[in-house]
Amino acid sequence: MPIIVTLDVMLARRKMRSRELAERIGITEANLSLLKSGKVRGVRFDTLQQICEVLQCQPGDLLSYEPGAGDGG
Amino acid sequence: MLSRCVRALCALGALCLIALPTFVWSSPEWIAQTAASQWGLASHALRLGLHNRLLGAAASMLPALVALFVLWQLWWLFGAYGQGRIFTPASVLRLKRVAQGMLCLPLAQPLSVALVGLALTMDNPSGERALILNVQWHDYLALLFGLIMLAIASVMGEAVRVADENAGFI
Repeated sequence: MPIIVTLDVMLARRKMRSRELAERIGITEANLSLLKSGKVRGVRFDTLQQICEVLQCQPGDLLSYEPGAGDGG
Repeated sequence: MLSRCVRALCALGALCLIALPTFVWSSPEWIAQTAASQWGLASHALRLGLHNRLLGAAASMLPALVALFVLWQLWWLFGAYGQGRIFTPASVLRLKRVAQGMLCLPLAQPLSVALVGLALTMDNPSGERALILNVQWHDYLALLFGLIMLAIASVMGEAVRVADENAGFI
């Protein structure tokens, strides 16, 4: 999948732990971990909005497009 | 609560399916009575020797085994539903098996009655043996509900696919 989730980078910039973010946006830590590793089919706009609100960032700060990255997966 | 009720009915049904034929086939009087009232053999002389009864009992077990299979699948299915395992491939498979079992009943029941008739009249002189073709209203209902269950199973299969896809979204 050429869409790369860069949530972990944003979390590091904001010096926030995954657990805290998960609690604040109301999803489980396990699901947040799946999201960070990109092992999900998609992200709901609702979830994206909440992450952006908590981390004070734009959706583009959490996702990037890298052609050819992980094709076939 | 609903799943417990269905499971209790399944257990009761299975008990009846095992106990009632055993009771009927152990008594020549009961066989004669049931043959007249349910199997359309009222006008035939019945032979109730041991081998006739054993063959008859074996033939009558055919729909009972199909019904036991359906009840077992329902028992498992509602156990899963009771535990919240609704949209799973295993539940859909059991639902399909229930449907397949119900579709087999309208075939098994008339075949069983025909074989029972033969078993109880096979020792009669030629011309007095009975081959009964007995299709009843509940055979039609089993066919109808079997087809409906098959359609529901297909819909549930699609629901499982959607639920699986939905679970992939965070």
